[in-house]
Amino acid sequence: MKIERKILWVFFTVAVILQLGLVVRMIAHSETTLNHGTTVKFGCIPVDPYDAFRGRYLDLALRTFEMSPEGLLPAEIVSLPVDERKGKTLYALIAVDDDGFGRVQRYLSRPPEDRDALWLKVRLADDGYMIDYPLRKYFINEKIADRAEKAFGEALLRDPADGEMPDPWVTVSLFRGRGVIRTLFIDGLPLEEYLKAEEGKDRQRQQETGRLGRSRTYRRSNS
Amino acid sequence: MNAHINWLFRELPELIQDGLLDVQQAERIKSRYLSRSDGRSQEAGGVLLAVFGTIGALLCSLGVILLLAFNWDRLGIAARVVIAILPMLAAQYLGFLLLRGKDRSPAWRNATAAFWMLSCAGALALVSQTYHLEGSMEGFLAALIVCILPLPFITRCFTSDLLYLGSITVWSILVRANGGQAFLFWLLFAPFLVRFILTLKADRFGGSAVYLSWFAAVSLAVNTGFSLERVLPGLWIPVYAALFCLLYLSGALVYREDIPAGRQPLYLFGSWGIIALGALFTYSWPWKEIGWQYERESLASGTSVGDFLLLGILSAAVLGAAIILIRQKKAGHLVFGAFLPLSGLCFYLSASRGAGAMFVVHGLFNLYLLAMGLSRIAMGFGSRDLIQINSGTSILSLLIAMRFIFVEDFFSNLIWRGFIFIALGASFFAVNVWLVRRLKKVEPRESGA
Repeated sequence: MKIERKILWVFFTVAVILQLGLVVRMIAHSETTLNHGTTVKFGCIPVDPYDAFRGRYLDLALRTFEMSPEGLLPAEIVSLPVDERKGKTLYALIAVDDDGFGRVQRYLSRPPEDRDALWLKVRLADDGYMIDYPLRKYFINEKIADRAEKAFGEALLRDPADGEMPDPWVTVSLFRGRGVIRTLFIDGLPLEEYLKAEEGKDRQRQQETGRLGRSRTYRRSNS
Repeated sequence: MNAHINWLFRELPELIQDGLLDVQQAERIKSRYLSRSDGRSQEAGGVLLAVFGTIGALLCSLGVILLLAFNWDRLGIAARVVIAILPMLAAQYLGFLLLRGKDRSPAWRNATAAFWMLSCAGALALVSQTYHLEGSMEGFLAALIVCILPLPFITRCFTSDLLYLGSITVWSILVRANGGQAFLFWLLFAPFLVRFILTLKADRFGGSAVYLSWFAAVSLAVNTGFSLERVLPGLWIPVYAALFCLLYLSGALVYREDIPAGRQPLYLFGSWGIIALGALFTYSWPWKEIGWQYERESLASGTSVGDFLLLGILSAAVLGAAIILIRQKKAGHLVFGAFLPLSGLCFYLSASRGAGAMFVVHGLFNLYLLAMGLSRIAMGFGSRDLIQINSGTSILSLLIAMRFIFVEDFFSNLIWRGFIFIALGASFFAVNVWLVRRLKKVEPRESGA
């Protein structure tokens, strides 16, 4: 009986360690990446701007990872038949331009040895051609979901002129192959601030329309 | 109180009056059935408490999540993380209290299990959401399964067993649907199996054991297919045959014959599976293009090792169960158990000889279903069990309907079919005449006794 009880306590300890361990590990990894990582901007492109909100997150499609990786892949991967390429782990070496925007310089089959190099662990998608990267979901509250989706979709459809910064973009912290999304920017403002600003503009527009409508009615009634 | 017991109590005064019972005997009968009735109502009350406790825990957890979701965007990362972990810590404290207490009620156990598992799921989901962590549903479920793995052993209740089984079942389906390998399901199933055996040992006819058996049988039937790599076409035939035989034979080992069929899920599910597959195997489509000549990938690549391992383990378990049944003098059940060697033989024949073996395979499975139906009727006749006789008749009816309506190949020839039906009909008449004569002989002997 005593042995059975001891076993139960062992199970309890294991459960607590597993549960706390897993959650704390997730938090620690993310916090380390946010605090010690290098912040890089990534421009988004429209994949499906009319249906970007999937459940509770915006589906981000980062331009540099969405482009065909052919020409950037390591020779040992290129030589493989498509079936064997599927799901292969790759290491995207990131170069940052003067505006802070990151782009994939090339994909490596091993993590770079240079400690200062910026890189992200990705994999070849199941079609063997595209890249599966871990920075696609931007979780948002359902209360602002509709407005966020509309704003994000509209921003995606605005084509940036040559030399202009891509819009929208996300800031991502990169640290030892891990990436954590920081903020989504639209028109240079964090999403939440952009929505507030837009809300303010809308309210102002409504007030102006109301004032204009009232003055017209007044004029008509006087004449 | 039960209507039958009420009836018995109403009858007692009359029985005393007729001199069949004296007052003391009547009192003893009354007290015996009263205590039984009380026990049952207590058990029903316990179940009700457990159900309401579990639903209460689920609703409270969901309510808290909704309240938090309302203000979620106003909270900073640190606050969100604390809120995500707090319910899990509270659940762990409840688990601690559960272990410290000597004998917690089923309601307490079930409610704690539900809250604990939900709080783990909530913590993982909220932390992932807070840090915008990429992840698939199956990845989330895998993490959850690791978290809740020890909980069925700590809380020892139906809710934790069921939620764990549900999690591994859905995980396996999702992994397979996304093109992954789901063989790990069997490793994750092992802890559940231990809990399941302990539940059966505690009370094999109790509500928990019965419902858990139904869910386990369904989960196994679904996940056997999902966990197969299908490198060798048609290997599913012996694998599923082994699974249903194992369910049937373990049911025959675990349950008593005087228990209603609904309380013997393994036995019932196994027999349904064997009959359904047996009926399917009388057609040609399962046997077409199977075997090593059609392998999708070289067998030497090792991808299908898991499939063969599964077949080996299931077959060994069937063999073990068959040996125990023979020792227990319950060899009558082996008619159903013969489904595995027959399926294995037919798989080998179809794989090695292709379409040439189809006639033999069809013939064997038609004869097998016929033998199965007749043996059921004979067993039912022997034990005067009308349900068994009816099940045998149903198997025969199914076989006849299949050969008369949905026909193919050899059976599509009307002349042959006509002769076979006349011959079968005549033999049934003959058996009927024999049975009537035999029953007439038995009745006078019984009435004389």
